[in-house]
Amino acid sequence: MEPTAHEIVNPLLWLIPLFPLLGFLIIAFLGAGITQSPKPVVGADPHGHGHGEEHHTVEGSSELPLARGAEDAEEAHHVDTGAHDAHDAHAHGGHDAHGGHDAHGGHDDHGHHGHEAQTNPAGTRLVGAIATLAVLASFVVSVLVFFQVAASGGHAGAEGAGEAAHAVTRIFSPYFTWMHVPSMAGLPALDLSFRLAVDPLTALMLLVVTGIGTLIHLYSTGYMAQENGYARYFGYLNLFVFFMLLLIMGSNFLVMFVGWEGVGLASYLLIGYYYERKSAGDASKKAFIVNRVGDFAFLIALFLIFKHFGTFEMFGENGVLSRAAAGDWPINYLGTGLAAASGLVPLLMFIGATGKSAQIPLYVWLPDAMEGPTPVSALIHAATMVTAGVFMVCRSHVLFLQSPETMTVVAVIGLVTCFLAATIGLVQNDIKKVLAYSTVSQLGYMFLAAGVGAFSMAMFHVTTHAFFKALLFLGSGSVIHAMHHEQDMRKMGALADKIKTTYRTMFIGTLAIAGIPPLAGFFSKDEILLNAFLGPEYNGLGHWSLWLVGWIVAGMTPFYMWRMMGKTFMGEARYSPEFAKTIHESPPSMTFPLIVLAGLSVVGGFLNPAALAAIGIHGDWLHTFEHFLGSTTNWREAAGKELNIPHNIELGLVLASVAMAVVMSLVAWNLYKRRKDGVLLPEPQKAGNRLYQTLYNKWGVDDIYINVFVRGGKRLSNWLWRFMDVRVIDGTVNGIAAGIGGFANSLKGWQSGYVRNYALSILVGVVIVVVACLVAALRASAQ
Amino acid sequence: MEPMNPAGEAALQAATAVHPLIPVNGQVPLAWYLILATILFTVGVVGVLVKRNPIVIFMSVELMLNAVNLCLIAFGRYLGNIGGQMISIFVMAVAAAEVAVGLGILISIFRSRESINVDEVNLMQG
Repeated sequence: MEPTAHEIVNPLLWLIPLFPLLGFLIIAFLGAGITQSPKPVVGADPHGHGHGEEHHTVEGSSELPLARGAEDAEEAHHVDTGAHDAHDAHAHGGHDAHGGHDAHGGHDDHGHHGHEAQTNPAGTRLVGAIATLAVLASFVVSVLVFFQVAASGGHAGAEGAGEAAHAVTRIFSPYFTWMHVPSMAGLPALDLSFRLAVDPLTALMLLVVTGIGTLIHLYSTGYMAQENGYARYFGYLNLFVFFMLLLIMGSNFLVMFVGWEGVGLASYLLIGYYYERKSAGDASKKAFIVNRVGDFAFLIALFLIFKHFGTFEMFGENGVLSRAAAGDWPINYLGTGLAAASGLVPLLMFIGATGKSAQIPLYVWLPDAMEGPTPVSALIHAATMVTAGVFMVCRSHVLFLQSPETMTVVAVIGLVTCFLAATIGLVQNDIKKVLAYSTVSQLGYMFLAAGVGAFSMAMFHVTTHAFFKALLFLGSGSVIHAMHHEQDMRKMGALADKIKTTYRTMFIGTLAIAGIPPLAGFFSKDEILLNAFLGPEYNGLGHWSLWLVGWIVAGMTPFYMWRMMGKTFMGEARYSPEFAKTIHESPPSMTFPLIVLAGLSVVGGFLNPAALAAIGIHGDWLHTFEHFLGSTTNWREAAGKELNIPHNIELGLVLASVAMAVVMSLVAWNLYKRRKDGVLLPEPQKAGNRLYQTLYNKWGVDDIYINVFVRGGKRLSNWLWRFMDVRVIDGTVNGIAAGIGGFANSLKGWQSGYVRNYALSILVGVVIVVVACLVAALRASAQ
Repeated sequence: MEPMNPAGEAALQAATAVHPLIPVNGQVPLAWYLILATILFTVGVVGVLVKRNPIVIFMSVELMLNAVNLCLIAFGRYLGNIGGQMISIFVMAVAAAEVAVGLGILISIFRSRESINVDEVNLMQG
């Protein structure tokens, strides 16, 4: 693959995914040992050793299976490391014994027996540092790569002329062929290679993933400090970042798919982090299985791509995206020749995206995924993994543009999901569930944007959403931390004075998500709604009905967010005063990311404050983001279909958005701020209210899935077991055996042991032989 | 029987030309010997199959053997071949040996079970 003038080869690209991978490997193999390193014992304890079986059942395994490190043990019960080696089946470094040590200030171990992890605080700090520094290193390299991309002409300015102005800089890593199957028997050659590519779209995602990833790693060092499986958590988190980086940096669809699957795996591991809880295990399985359904569709799409294009590479002259842009597009997938059939590949890819990015019909895993630790929800289920679907759609926007039907499907499903999730979020009582449904709803906005052709705005919303949603999740984590892991908002209240920093940063985040100017959410959401409104007469792909529903949801969003804020921070304390005394603000490791993200939420919108054109401000800087992404997402310039935005429409839409956001915010804030008990409807009314019950029941979607798929699957399995396996397969095998046995049994009758029968059979045999000879002789003599 | 001589053989041929069962010139027709041998053999076979007493079975076996001997000698005489008589001597010797072995087995069986009913010797059943 010859690099052109705009393609650069930079081997340092491999460093970006390499750092988190190294972090994962180091923590996987050494983490458990580091966090529970042995300490010399001060004195024996007459209580004796209660370890072995006891702590296996109490604490479970707190290490990664790869590293059978030191088992947790009750403190002060260790006499001798040697005795424990004999005791434990694992080969490890011995036990931790804190007993009389006061050097470890990390935990209170005097008088506590049995159930707490005896972690080594220095070790845990080291593990946390390794993980965070790994991602930070990736971030630093990403920034360098970002500048390289930006500086080398990544801007496709309107004043540029000719093709060169539209070209973007693409940096590649060296080509590494993993497997090459030469062409044979009329089939095309199969070239599977590992190569990373960074263009402006990727550079943007790199900054988001590694930047917010670093902040969340830092936050986690504070949030997860008391957990047993500290090393396991950070190992998995680094693994996730590694796979996410592969996903966004892959220069062919296969590397992207490796990352795609890998983030699903990491999500499973992290959601099921508290695996001792059955609900967490169920949620992680649900997430992975639902994801897999989407992955199946994505895989079929990849097969179809290979079938037509003969390659998985995205870029270059032979790349899928380049050729599709040039018009090389199959329309005969189903043998029908129907133009609509050409949408099969993008449709299947979109189904994959619905799995990963939680749209209808595969969104059901995301609310359950809140079983995982809160930083996980922030990173994976708000900022990065769920945006992988949007990223993939924007990356392959050329394929989607080939099929207007698929674009419509994308937009409509995005919109419906947006609406549905917002309605469910209105009635949730768990603080994290509100945010989960909010995420699903905002992702719907992103797909709406993609469906109407505004891919760069979808990415812009990805970015701003990452800022404020991560902020909100981390803030909620801070609240949960302060409330000693209480997540039900009905048991909160009056927290604003107690956890000021959390309250203020979450307030900023809520302003952002509500779409109140000039914070980030307003600019990105407004652009999406604008693109959704403009129909074909303005060169757009939208329709006013899309805008209308989007606008209504833009009203519901502030409502449920301010409801959340009101219930959590305002009103009266719905807990005991003794409990109130234990509420304290989070440590700086947790509040620092909150402050950084709040700052980004405030200024992030000014990356592309296009709405300012409505009030008369003009200039190129209004579209910095869009220009930076260039032709990776901007197809209108090349196609000559620039959006024609009449000023009055733009002004009207901006005013409508602002009005809706401000009005609903004030309404909700006032409704909930003054409620002492934080509820709008009292309980008996809730039970009787059918609308409320429907919403509370998540529109019955989960029930439908359980009844159709889960129960149906179980019935199918049962039938297959009872009929196919027992009767058909076992029946055949056993039947053959029984048949042979029966046959042998019948032959047994010959062996009567009865001598006279044997004599008779000799006689019969003789007769037969004689008759045969006679017949033969007669025949011979007759001839 | 008279020894064969060419004249006698011609006379025999002339005599049997009428019917195999009719004696000619005072000669016993071959067929009578064969019929007798068959009857004896059949009786012997039936005796082996039907009787339960091994001694009677042995006697039936002897009967069969003797029927065969008769047959052999008759054919030997009428075909002018002395081989018939030679084989017959062998058969008698073998019959004697066989009876000796058989009676030895019989006595051994009788010693172990006090009964010589062949129907009860069915340990190979199954």
